[in-house]
Amino acid sequence: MTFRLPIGARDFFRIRGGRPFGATETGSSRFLIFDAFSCCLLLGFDRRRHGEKDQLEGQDFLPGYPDTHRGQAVIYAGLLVDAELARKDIAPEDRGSVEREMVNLLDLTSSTRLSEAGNDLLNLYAASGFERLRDAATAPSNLEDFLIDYAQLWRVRDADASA
Amino acid sequence: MALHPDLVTALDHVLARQQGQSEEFRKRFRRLVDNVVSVGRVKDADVREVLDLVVVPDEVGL
Amino acid sequence: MRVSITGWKCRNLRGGLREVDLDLGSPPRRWTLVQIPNGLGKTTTMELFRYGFTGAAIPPEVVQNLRADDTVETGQFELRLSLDDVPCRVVIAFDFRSGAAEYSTARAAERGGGLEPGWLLPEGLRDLLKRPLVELFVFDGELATEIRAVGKDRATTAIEALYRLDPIGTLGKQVERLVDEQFKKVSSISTAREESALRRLKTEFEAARDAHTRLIGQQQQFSTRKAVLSSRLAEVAADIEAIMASDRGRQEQRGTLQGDLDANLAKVNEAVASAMAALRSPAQVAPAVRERLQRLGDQLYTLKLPESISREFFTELAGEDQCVCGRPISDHERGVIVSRSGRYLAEDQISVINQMKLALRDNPSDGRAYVVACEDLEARQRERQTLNHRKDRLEREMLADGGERLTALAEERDRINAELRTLVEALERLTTKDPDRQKQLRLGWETNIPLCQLTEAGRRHRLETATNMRLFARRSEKLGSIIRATRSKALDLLRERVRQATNDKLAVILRNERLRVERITGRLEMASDRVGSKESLSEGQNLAVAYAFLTSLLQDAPYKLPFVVDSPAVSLDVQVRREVGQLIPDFFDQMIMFVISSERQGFADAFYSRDDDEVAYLTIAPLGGGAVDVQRGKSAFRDFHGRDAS
Repeated sequence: MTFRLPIGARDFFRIRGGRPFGATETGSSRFLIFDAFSCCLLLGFDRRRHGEKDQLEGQDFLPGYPDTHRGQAVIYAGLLVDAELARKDIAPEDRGSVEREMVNLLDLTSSTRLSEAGNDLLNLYAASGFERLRDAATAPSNLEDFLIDYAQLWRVRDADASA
Repeated sequence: MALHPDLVTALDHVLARQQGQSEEFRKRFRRLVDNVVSVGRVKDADVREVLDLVVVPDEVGL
Repeated sequence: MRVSITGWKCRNLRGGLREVDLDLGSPPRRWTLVQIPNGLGKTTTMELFRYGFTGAAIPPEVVQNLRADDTVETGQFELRLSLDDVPCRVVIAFDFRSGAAEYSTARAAERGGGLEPGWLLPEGLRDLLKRPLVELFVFDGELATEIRAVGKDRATTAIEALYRLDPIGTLGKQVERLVDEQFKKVSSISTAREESALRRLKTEFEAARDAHTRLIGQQQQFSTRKAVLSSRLAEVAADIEAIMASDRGRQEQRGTLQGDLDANLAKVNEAVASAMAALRSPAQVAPAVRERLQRLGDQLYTLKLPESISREFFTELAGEDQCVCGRPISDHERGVIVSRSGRYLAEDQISVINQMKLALRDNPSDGRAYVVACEDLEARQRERQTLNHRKDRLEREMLADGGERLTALAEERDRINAELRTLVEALERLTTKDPDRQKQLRLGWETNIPLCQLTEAGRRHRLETATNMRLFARRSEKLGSIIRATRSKALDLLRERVRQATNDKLAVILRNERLRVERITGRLEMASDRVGSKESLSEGQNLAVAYAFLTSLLQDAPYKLPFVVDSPAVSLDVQVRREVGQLIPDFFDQMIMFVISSERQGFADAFYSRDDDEVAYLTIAPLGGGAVDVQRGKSAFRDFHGRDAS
């Protein structure tokens, strides 16, 4: 599989007819379903925890990165590696284990730069991130409010981290 | 083989009492009986054709 | 079709049938009298005829009983027929050891007349020649009583078979089968068969249709009202504007405020766009994210990962004879190198990490771009709120100073907006096609037009299907009843015909007795002029009745069959014999009679005065040791003093 939405995300992001928040704009300024997905993903990486397969929908919503995100594939790959290393508590000096994780998760020949195992894990991190999102924020009724709430989440997190 | 005269008489007798049925039905029914007696069997399609011609009184429907 | 027997042959069969080959000529004479003493295979021959005419399986005991003696292992019976002047031979080959009997058939038109395996008489004949019918024309006098017996359906069944009423019955069954098949086909859509079920389906369909009409009506009503209100709203707004425009000073302020609001909207959109752009670059979403990526890059650098040496290096090395250090590589080392190479990153994996490091380096930022853009957005929102508040306050002031008319207009505007909001919601409920939305708003077929259309179409389909099915079923019933009536009437007419013909003959054969067939049901119900219903007859009377019936039955049938009879006259008294001998033969195109010498008087001698060309006389006498002598001709026949074979 490539990208799958966590169950409940469609309601939360008010996705109707493939458009979150009833977005009517066209072109690159439109908020995509993938944008919603990546918001969940980043939160999940940050938690250093992934979710379970049964929290995901049964079908992909997109077969690969959209044009708007194409250049970022390696970044997401890096974030995945980072999250996994943290989750598995692998010591930074443990060269062998680090290398082993990278071998397991990466694959240049795939359009996502991830191996199949890596891809599956990616979706599970999105599930975990969505959990965080749903617990922390009431469902926003429009895009502007969501963007602001999401920024707040990161701001608060930073504040906690530096406290 | 031609139908036995008594079979023809029976057909005449029965069909005469079927006033509600069309001439076409009568003709086709005779032919059906003729075929089934001389050949031994008839095709489902032939039976359906005759069925389509049968008139029955109106009932509930569209 | 006319069926005649042109001869038969027996080989290695017991009785007098070790070596018998009788040729009746082609065409055979009309009447053949075979004089043959008891014990010389008369009964066996009759039975073999029956097998030849039915093609039935012969049980091993029967086969073995046919064996002439221990010296023979195989035997044969051949029945030669002429079907509408086309020769046809049925051969039964017996294997006495195994008890097997195999049929084969020679047809003139097929395979140059050679023997083909199987019993292959023409299809029409095949369907007709079942044992019960065959027993009526390969006739054992003992059957005579059975034709009259209570509980035996012989008479009616014979009529039905011979006059081809069976196919008509099959037709009725075919109609029934078509109905069942049709019903199975539609039962996934509707299983309704009764009129009541149909009425219910109609009611359900009409309910959906009426709901559809009602909902469409509502939609039109709301749409019209919405259009009316919108146009009125525009008027009111224009009037309000006109009045406000007269308040120059405030009007100017309003203009400025609107300009500020427009500028604010543009800024909001810019801020949203910036935020989204930042969102799409994870390193710009939050410092923590950027830091982690940075740290990962550093960590990998420290660990000297990825190695510039890749898995491919090791794979290639394993293929060499010498290591880079100069030492030779044996198979053992080769194996270790290859197995451990899996632990190293492949070149493409190296490339991913390098690309990541590059991407980070090329996009320097402090990771705060997103948060900053959102702060800006928040500020713009607050600004918008402030501007809107000022605009509202300004408008309220203008309203207050604008007089009653302005106040009234403003109230009307507010009312219209409220009603428009309600209408928009109601129209959405009526018209939305989005399944998620339909679920959310708890819409059903009675409240939503697209759902109603689906339901209406579905119910229409079910009703149509059920209606057509019922129509089909009713037509089939009607046709079935017409078929049954035809069959029944035909049977009545045929039975009456056969009854009349039988009675006509009885009037001649039993001149003094006045025996009549009263009714043909399953059997022959007799009446006599003298005594009323007559149930028990003498053997001779039975026989006479049987002959009269059988000849009446067979003479008129579509198939002309030969009549073969065993001891036709033994139990008749001389006078009756004479009548039978004179009357009955004229009804058949071919008769074969097996007689014993004592039957000659009265019966056989009735033939002497017939045209010689029409009668064949065969006399069979035992020669001892299973052999027989066949003599042809009237004189041999007449003069034969038969003795039963011992």
